[in-house]
Amino acid sequence: VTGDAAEIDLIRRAAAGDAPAFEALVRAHAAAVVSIATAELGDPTTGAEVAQDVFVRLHRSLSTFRHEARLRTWLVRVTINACADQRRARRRRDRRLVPMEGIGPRDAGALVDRAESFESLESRRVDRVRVRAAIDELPAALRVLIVLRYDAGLEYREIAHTLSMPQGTVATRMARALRQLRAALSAPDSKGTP
Amino acid sequence: MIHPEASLYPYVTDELDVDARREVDAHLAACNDCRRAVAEIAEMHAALVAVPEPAADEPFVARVQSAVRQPILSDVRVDVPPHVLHPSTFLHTRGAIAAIVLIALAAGAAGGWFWRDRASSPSSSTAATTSDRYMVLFYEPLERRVAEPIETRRDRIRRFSEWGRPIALEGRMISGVRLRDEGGRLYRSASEVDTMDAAVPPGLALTGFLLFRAGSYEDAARFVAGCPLFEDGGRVELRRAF
Repeated sequence: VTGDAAEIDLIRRAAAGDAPAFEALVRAHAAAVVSIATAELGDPTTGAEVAQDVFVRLHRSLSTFRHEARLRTWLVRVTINACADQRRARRRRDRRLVPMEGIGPRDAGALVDRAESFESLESRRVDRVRVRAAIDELPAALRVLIVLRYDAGLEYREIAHTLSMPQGTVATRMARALRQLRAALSAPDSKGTP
Repeated sequence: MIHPEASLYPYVTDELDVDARREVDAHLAACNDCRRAVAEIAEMHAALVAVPEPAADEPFVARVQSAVRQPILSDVRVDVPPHVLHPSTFLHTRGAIAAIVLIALAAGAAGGWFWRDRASSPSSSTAATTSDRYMVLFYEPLERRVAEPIETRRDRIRRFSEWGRPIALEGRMISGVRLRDEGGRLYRSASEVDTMDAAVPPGLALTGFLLFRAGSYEDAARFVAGCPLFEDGGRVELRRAF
């Protein structure tokens, strides 16, 4: 989805109170936002909660939304910031509690669906469970890049801008993430290894 | 030999300018390691790009729709007598999704019935004997809430308003908070987390509470009877508070 005329029209209608228009916007971006929040926080439940807050904030901001940037880009930035707030709150909370170890499994959220689609690619019969595991096992700094690029559809320069990271660093880490994924999926015990 | 590591990914995704691309081409012509790296990056990139973006999770979309509908309810303009609902317990509640129950009560007050009925209140003097505070906790099926049409929601608020009116009429209302329709977490200890299902009947979730004054459990319980949540299979928990 891009900031094209159709989306701008949806935003304007939603800002005027058109509920189906807002629902269409949510539907278009929900998977990406949930996936980013889940990858950032490492917990699908909290990720979905933060993603919901992001869309509530979008709803409140529609009337002031400037069409200088793609809505997707705006959502990604708000999601990244909301996740940072969530992590800060979690750190404050954890300081008051006994440290917790291994809260829930890490999950790649919507990328699970992507993994399922892998099976339909006959030329690349990669076990979906292993794809999910490979993405989950990526270091957090690499995992979020994969999600921003392949779920949110950001170009690597946009990712650099969103994360306030040098473009070269993003590009180097992206290459490393893809090679690690490929290596994990090519392991000898991988079902249907190419 | 210096390897152009930072250029290999944008080389694969065709996000390099012409000059940078020529430099990488020249390097690849002489470097087996980088050719292998480019091949591996390209293979995985192609695999991920080939898969379409997953569809939106419908329950998630419904939850968002439900969450953004709630501010409509907070738009009700109210003029609440300060001795009934103290501003510090209501007006300072942050966010538009809070305090539906109180909004319902306050909306009723703004509508006029509060003062009309006050004169006929059978026991307005009982507030003087209500030194303890009691809390009502609401449990109800969240699935019903998520897909609830706005008309049904308004009707439910109206019934809540009717039900809670005597508490306000007798000057016992202290505060009430509407919780989000998101379920919750229950800590068994600092490191053990359960779902709410572990503590309440399956399918029910805590959705709010009322805090009011009463002289005893029996005194408080008479306000619980008739709560409309029972009609939907919900539960009400009554506890004495500090």
